[in-house]
Amino acid sequence: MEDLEILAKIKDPETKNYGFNLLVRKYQQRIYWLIRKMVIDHDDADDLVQEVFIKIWQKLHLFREDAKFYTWIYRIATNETLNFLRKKRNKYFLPIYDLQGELLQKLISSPQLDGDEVQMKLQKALLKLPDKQRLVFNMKYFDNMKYEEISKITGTSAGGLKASYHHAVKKIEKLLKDD
Amino acid sequence: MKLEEIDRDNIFKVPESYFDELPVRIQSKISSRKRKFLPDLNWSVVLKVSISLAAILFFVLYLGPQKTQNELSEPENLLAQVSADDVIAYLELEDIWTNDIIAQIDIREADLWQDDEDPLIDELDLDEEQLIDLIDAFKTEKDYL
Repeated sequence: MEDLEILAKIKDPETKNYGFNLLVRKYQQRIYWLIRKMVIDHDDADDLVQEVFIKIWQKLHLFREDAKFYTWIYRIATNETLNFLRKKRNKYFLPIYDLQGELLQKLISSPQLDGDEVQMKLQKALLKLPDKQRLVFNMKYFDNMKYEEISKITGTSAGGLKASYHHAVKKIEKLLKDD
Repeated sequence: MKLEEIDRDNIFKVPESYFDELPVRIQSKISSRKRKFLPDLNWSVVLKVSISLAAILFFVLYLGPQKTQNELSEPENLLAQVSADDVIAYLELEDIWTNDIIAQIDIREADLWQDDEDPLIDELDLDEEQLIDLIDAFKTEKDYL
C-alpha cells in the first residue's frame, strides 16, 4: 500500500490504529536493520525501533505532506540512533569511553550473527568509522540508497556524502588489508 | 581486498517471528503510555506533603479544641505550622500557578492604595468645609485648562 493511503487511514479516527499498524509492518524491517547495523546488539535495536515508531505516532501531526514519508521516518530513526550512541558515549562521563570496544565485543559475542570470516572483518572495520560516516556507508553500501535520498535524511549535501563515502571505502579497504 | 569482493548479505539475525510480533508490541506500548495520564511523581515530595497535611489534620482535630475559638478560626495560624518549603512542594505537586492564586484573592482597589494614600490624607487634617472649598478650587482650575 502506498504511503499516502496509509497516511489517509491514520488521519481517519476510525482507522487510525489499523493505518498505523500498516505503517509499522511496511517499515519495521528497514528501520530495524538500519538501527541494528549501527548498535549491533539486538536488544538495543529492539528498544530503539520501538521508540522510533512511538515517536512517529506522537509526531505524525507534524509531518508535512510535501516531504516524502519514508524520508521523514528514516530521519527520525537516524536521529534516535545517533543520539543513542552519543548518550552511551557520555554515560560514564569519561572523555574516552570505549564505545567502539563495547560494540566490537557485542559483535564478537552475539549469538545472532551468521556471516563468514570476511564479512565479520568488514563489520569490525566498520566500527572504526565515526558514527555518521558509518551510517552513510551502511545506507549506501548495504541498502543501496541514492545520495539524494541520504541527503534528504541526513541534511548533508549529496556532494559531501559522496566524499564521505569514498573516504570511508578507502579507509575500510586499508583496514581490511592491514588486518 | 576490494569491498566489491565481499558478500553484501546481512549477517545479523533476529529471534524467530520477531517481526510478526513487533507491531503488536509497539501498539501495546503506545496504549500503555496513553493510559499513563499522571505525570511522574517525585515520591519524596509526595511523602513530605502528606506528612505536613497529616500534621495539620491532627492539629485541627485533636489539638484544635484546646485552643481558643479565635485561634482555631484563623487559617494563618494553621498555615504557620507548615514550612515554606512544604508549601512550595505542595503548590508544585498540585500544579497550582501564580495566576490561579491571584484569581482566588478578592483584591479591592482601595486595598492597593491604602498604604500610600492614607497617611497623606490624614496629614491634610481638613474639616468638611475646607474639603469642599478645595474640591471647588480644583474644579475651577480644571475648567480653565
